Amino acid sequence: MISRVIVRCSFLALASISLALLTSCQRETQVDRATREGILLVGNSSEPKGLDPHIVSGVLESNILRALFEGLVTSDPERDTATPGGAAVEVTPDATATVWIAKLRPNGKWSDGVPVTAQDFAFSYERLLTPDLGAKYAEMLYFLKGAEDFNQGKTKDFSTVGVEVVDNLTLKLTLRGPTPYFKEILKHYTWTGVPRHIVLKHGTIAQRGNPWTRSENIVVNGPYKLKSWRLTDHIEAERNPYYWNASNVVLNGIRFLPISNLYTESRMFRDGQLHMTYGCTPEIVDLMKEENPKELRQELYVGTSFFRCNTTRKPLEDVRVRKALSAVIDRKAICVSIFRGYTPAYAMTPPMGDYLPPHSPEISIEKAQSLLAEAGFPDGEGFPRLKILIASRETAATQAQALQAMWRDRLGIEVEIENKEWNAYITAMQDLDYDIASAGWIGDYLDPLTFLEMWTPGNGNNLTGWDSPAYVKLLKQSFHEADPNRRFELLRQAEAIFVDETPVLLVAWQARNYLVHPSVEGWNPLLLANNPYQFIRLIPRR
Amino acid sequence: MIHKGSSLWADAWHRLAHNRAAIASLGVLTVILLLCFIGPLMPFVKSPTAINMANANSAPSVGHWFGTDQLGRDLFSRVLYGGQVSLLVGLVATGVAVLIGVIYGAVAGYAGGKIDDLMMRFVDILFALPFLVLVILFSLVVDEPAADFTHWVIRVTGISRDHVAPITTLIPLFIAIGAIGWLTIARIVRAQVMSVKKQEFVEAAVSLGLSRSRILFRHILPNVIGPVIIYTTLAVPGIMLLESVLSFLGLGVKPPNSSWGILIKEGADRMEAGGLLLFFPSLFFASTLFALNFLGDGLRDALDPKSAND
Repeated sequence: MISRVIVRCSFLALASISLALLTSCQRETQVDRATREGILLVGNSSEPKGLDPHIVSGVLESNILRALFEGLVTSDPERDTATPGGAAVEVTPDATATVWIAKLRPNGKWSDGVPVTAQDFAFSYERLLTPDLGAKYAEMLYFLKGAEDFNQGKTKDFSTVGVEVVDNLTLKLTLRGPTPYFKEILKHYTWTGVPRHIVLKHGTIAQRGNPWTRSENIVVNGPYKLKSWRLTDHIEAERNPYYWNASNVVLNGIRFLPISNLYTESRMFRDGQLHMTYGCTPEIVDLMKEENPKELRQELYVGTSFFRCNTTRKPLEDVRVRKALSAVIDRKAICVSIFRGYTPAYAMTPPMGDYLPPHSPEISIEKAQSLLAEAGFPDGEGFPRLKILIASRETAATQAQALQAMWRDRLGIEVEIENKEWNAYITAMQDLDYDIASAGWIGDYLDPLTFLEMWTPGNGNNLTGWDSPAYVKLLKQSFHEADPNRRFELLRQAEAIFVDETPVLLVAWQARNYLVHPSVEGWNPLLLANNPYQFIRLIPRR
Repeated sequence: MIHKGSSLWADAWHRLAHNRAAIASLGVLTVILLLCFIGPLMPFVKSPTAINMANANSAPSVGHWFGTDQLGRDLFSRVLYGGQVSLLVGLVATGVAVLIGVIYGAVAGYAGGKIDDLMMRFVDILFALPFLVLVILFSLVVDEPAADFTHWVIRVTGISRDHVAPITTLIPLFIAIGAIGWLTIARIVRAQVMSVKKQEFVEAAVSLGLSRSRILFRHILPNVIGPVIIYTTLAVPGIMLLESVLSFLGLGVKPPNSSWGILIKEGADRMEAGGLLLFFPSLFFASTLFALNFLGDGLRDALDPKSAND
């Protein structure tokens, strides 16, 4: 009897185990389900600082804003330089490329059904430039005539800025100089419109922390609208039925997941929880190359990795110290062992189109040591204890430890590493409350100016305290230069000053490594990684 | 025939010597302790912070017994130096906490009445304070002085930074853990003392006219040592893990220095690149914890006066 019971029990156990195995094999992953529902699952690094296009400045925020807002001109899913019409049917320049007329779509609507008008865009530009808002990205609009003076409070009259509402659907933009590449710039999210009626309903024009972007208030004009926002869990966007081109939107929705650890993110991707990752560590690049090269994307990118120096602090205010610190960094070794596909950076601007950046002079280690001695620290003697500020990201910590070791071995300097959470890290940089901070800059448009204009004094992304009148003068000259070659020459001269004064320690020009699930179709490599979402197709694949 | 009296400790040692698992564990612990604290003084152990990026992520070899990490640092020496941190935190911080806790709890439990009330309410108040918040505040205050102290020691003694930094930067951590860690043990000991002090042998000791401290430390405490040892062996791994948490918050170990907890986290992150970066620190960490548990088990059996004296 007993033996029979045991046999029966073991049969039951076997059956249940095999059942469990069977179901686990056929288990539908989250990606499978999302593919079926037409929802893209995107790893998006950290929780965004907000969804107000006039306030944020990060890449991860721009990934979300691209789905929600549409500028006058939008991005093409395949070609970097194409500028298809967005909220405007067309944007046309005059003969000198200084005055541009934007014709808005008569059927353009906000996601609450209210028409999108030229007044909305004029209001947006006024809002971004109003000094009290303190927008970190206001300088993106300095292309407009008079914008800089208005933003710096030299005048309170917005009519001095080159923004004119001709009629409800016509906007006239007058620029500070000839800007043939202006449509490129218009793609950036700072140039998108915000709904005037909603912003003013929830607060004033220059009110920071205006609650209009809260999930219950936000109104947008892009192909998607905000569906739900759960802090540190996800942000989900769904179809916007009022979008002018809603019938041609393929993808049903996008879910952005704030996963700050790249290792966790890759693991989630491999476990079928993500369609696309934000990035990819060198280890995963190597592994995927072997295991599944089809899912690995390695693409060109216009981005630079560097370390900011706080030039308002001793001893970093001394250019000799900064040069010495920069000279002993073994960029080649860092590119090979910490990154994948990166190249050593010898200028701020990566080579871009016809622009060839200046080459920073090679300084030998001995020269660097004597520079440091000249500055009063022979063999690093008496050098104050500096801290390298990093945000809790993996490659930043490895990079910082490499720098730490190189400076110790070659200059006799001890530095410490201070790890801060992303928002605290940003705040510390904005308050100039750091010595050296790891950083990266991704181009906002395909022109070297996107890497150079930020280093002017007072610019919200300078964050180093560096101020060079000669540099500013050359940039200003370039704004009025119509000839592209002469313009590039002026920019090159300006960048040569920047590279020579070394307010940042350049490390590498970036490449973009990330993982994309094979079910995603229509995601093409773009230099600025500003792929529009609406044309993506999700095709179930096993 | 006169039965030769034997002391508690001699009995205990006798019993422990017969417990094979405990003795083996003692051996393992000794080896690990020697490796971590004496090993780094040997000339063949490389610097744990010297990078060699040309030789990053290499497999174990004659030059690098455990291979190298993502910056080409020798993993063997990183495990040894990291072990110093983890073991110091685990053993010293726990030891300090247990010492304070046992004395405090024993006094409160034996004194009873108003003194007991007062002492235990104080413990309750400390318990109510949020530990992590306290530690973060504490780190803001002590961080700079501790770093200054590290530099001062390096300048005065001339010892390599690799040897000094892992230990001196831990002092705030010892204080933080020591300040909070004794609370639970104080409660356990107090409860034990209260139950033991009502037993006949204590009354006998009182009637013999022994002093209070002699009764407490000679007669009562040996009877509560069992739970204390169990608690301690359980607390050590917890405190070693706490060290990783606190290091992440910026208190305690800072890069490029390391501890087993940090090495394991780095190894786990890079698991896909071959598990050796995870395997070696985990091997050391797990063996230490296993050995501590077996040893604790053996010690409890050995030190329990109620167990048979054979």
